[in-house]
Amino acid sequence: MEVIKYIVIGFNSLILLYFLAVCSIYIILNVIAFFKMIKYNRTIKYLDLKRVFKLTNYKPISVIVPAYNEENGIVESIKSLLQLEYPDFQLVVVNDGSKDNTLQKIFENFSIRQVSFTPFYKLKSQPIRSVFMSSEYPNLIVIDKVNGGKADAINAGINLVKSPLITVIDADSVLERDCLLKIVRPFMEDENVIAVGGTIRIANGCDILHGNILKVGLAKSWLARFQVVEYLRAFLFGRNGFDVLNGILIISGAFSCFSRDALIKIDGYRAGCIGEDMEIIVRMHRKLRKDNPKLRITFIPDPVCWTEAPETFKVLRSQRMRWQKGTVDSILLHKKLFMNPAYGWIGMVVFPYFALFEMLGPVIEIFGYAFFILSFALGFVTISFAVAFLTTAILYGVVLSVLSVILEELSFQRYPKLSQLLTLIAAAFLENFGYRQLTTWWRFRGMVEYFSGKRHWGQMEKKGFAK
Amino acid sequence: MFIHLDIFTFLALTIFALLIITYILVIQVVLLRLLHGYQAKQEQKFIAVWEGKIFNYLESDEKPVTLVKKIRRGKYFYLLRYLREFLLMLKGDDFKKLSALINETKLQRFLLSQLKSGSPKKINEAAYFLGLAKSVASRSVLQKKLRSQNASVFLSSALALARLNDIDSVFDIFRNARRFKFVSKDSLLAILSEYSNEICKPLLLNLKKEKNTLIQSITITLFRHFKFYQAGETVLKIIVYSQNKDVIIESIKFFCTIEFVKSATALRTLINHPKAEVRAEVLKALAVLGDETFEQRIWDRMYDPEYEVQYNAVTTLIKLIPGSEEKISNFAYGNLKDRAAAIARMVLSERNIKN
Repeated sequence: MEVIKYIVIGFNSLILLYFLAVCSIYIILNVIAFFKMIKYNRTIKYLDLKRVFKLTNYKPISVIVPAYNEENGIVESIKSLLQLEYPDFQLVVVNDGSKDNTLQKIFENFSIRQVSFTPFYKLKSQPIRSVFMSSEYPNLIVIDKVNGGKADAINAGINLVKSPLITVIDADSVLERDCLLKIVRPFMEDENVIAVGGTIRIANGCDILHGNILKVGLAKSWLARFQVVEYLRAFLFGRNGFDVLNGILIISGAFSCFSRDALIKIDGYRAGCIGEDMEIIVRMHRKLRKDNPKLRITFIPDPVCWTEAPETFKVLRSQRMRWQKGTVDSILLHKKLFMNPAYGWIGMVVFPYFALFEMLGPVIEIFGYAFFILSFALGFVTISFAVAFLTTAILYGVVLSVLSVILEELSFQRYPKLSQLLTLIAAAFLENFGYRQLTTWWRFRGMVEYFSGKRHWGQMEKKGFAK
Repeated sequence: MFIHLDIFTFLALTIFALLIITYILVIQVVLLRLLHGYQAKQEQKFIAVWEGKIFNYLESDEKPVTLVKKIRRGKYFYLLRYLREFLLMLKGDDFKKLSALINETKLQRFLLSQLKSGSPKKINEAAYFLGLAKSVASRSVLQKKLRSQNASVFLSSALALARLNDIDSVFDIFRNARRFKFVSKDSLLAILSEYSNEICKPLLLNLKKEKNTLIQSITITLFRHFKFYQAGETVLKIIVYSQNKDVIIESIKFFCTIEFVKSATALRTLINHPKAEVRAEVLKALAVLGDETFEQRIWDRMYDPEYEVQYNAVTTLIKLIPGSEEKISNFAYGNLKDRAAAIARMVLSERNIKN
C-alpha cells in the first residue's frame, strides 16, 4: 500500500508540475502576443494598402483551391474568389477526382475549355486528366485529376503555376476581399519570408451571400461558440506568441501563402499525410531553415478566412481526432528536431513544446484525471484538495479564454454587438465545464487510433454556407 | 502532511488570484467595449454634424481657421480620420482647401507637438497626417526623425517626406534605411513612389556614381514607375557591366516600359545570361524591343532547361515575328514527345481561349 501511495502521489506531483509548466508557457505566450498585437495594429492602422500596390513590383499570386465533392458550394466559392482584390492573381481550382458533379458545375458556369498543359515542376501527384481555362475569366484555371487527397491535389496545382507566390485555401472557405493584399505584405517587407499564415474564424452565424461575409455574427449553437473562443485562443495568442520566436509550426491549411521556390525545394506537400498543413511547415523548418536560419515562417493576425465549424458532436469528434493524428504524425516524422540545437529555438523550445504539450497533453491529462480519481478513492487526496485543484485548473482555463477575448477586443473587434461580446465571455467560461475535457478525450482517442494503425482521414460533413 | 497542506494553501491562493484576475479581465473587456462603442458613436455624431460643414467650406470662402476653431482638442482625430480618404484621393483646389484645414490651423500645431513627442505611436500618427496634408512646416522635424532608432518612426517619417515631395531627403532615406534589418526593398519602393517624378533627376545624377546594387535597383524601378525616358542611356551603361540579377532585371523591365529600342544590343547578349530569370525577362522584353533578327536566338531558347524561359520564348515569337504562329503550330504538333513542343502547344491553346 505504501508503494502504491508513493507512486500515485509521485504521479500527481508530476501532473501538478506539468500543469504549472503549461500555465507558465501560456502566460508568456499571452504577454508576447499582447505586445505583438499592439505593435501590429499600430503598423496597419495607417497603411494605405492599395497605394502600396500601385507600383508594378507586386508579386503575382496563384490561389490553389483543392476541391473534392464540392458541387454544392464550388460555383459560389469560385465567384467569390474571383472578386479578391489583388493586381495580379490566378485562381487554380483542382478537382481532385470528385465523385459528384463538381466539375460539371464549373463547366456550366465559367465557360471553360480544355487547354494543352505541361507540368513545370515534378512534384509527386496523381495523374492530371485535363486542364481547362475560362474564356470569360482569364485568370481561372481548372485542373481535373485522379483522386489523391488534399496534399496531392495541391501538388498538382503547384506543378502548373507560374507565380512566385502560392496561396492555398479550402474550397469552402470564405476569404475577405483584401486578404491577399494583406498576406503578401510580409513577403514584401522581408525577403526572407517563405510562408505566411492568416487568422481563421468561425463563419457559423454570419450572414454570407455569394461567398462574401455580409454581417459578422455568432452561431446559435454553443458548440460552435466554444469553437469561436478556441480559435481566438489558438490564433490570437498561440500563433502570435510563437511567431516572435520564428517558431510557427503550423499554418492552417484553410488559408496559407508560400513562396513557390520554397515549396519546390522541399518537394511540395507530402501526399497521404494526415496533417499536411503542419507537416509541411515542420519540414520547411527542418530542410530550409537549417541551411538558412534567416528564413522566416510568419503569421499575421488579420487576413481573415472564415470557415464552417462542426455543429454536431460526431463531426467535431472526427475533426479533433484527425487533428490529433496529424500532430502526432508530423511530430514523429520530424522527431530529429527534438532538442536539437542545430535548429535553434525551433529545436530547443518550440518543437519540444509541441511534442510534450500538444502531442502528449491529452494523454497526460487523461492519466492525470484517472490517477486523481484513484488517489481520491484510495484516500491519498482529500476532497478539499481535489476540489481546489480542479477549480484552479478550470479557472486558469477561464482566464486564458477571457484573455483571448480581450486580445480580440483590443485588436479587431469583429463582433460588433455588446450582446455578442457577452456571449463570447460566457462561452469562455462554459467551455471549461465539459467541452474542453471532451475535446481532450477525443484527442486522446485520436492518439490511440493513430498508434493502433487507424490513420485514415475520416469524413468531414459540412452544412455549407448557402443562403 | 506538511507538503499536502502547503500545496493546498498554494492552490487556495491561486484560486483566489485567478478569481480576481478573471473578474478584472471580464470587467475590462466590457469597459473596453463600452468605451469603444461610446467613441464610435461620438465619432459618428461628429461626422454627421461636420460633413455638411466641410462640404460647405469647400464651396465657400470660409477660412479654415474659423472652421477648425470650433473643434475641441479631443475630437481632432475624428476630423483627421474623416479627411484621410479625401486627402488620399483628391487633387487640385479641393485638396488644397482640405489640407489647409490641417496646415493653416491649430491642427498643425497639435500634430507638430505630437511629432516632437517621445511616443512612437503619436509620432507615427502625426507624421501620417502631416504627410498626407503635405505640411511644409513639419519638414525639418520629419527630417530629424529619419535618424530615429525606431524603424516605424523612420518609415512613417520617410513616407511623410515622400508625400511632401521633399527631394532633399531622398538620399537620407536611403542612408538611414540601411540601419534597419527589416526595411526591405519593397517597403522603400512603396515609400519612394509617393514622390512626384521630380525625384528622377537627382536619382539619375546619383545613379551615375552609385555602387550599391540595392539602390541601383530601387532607382531603376522608380524610373520605370515614372517612365523616365532620360535615364535610358545611363541604365544601358549599367546593364552592360552589372553582375547583379535584380539590377539587370529591373533595367530590362525599364527598357521595356519606355520602349528603349537602343537596348536591343544589350538584350542580344543577355538572352544567354546564366540566370534563368534574366533570360526569361529578356524574352519578355524582346516582344516589345526586338525585331526579326532575334528569331533564331529566340527559337534556341525554346530548348532552355527552364520552363519560364521556354514559355516566354514561344509567346515572344508569336508576338514578334509575323506568321510565326503557323510555324510554331507545326513544331508543336509535329513533335509530340518534345518538352519544348509541349510548352508551345500549351501557349497556343491558351491563346485560343483568350482570343
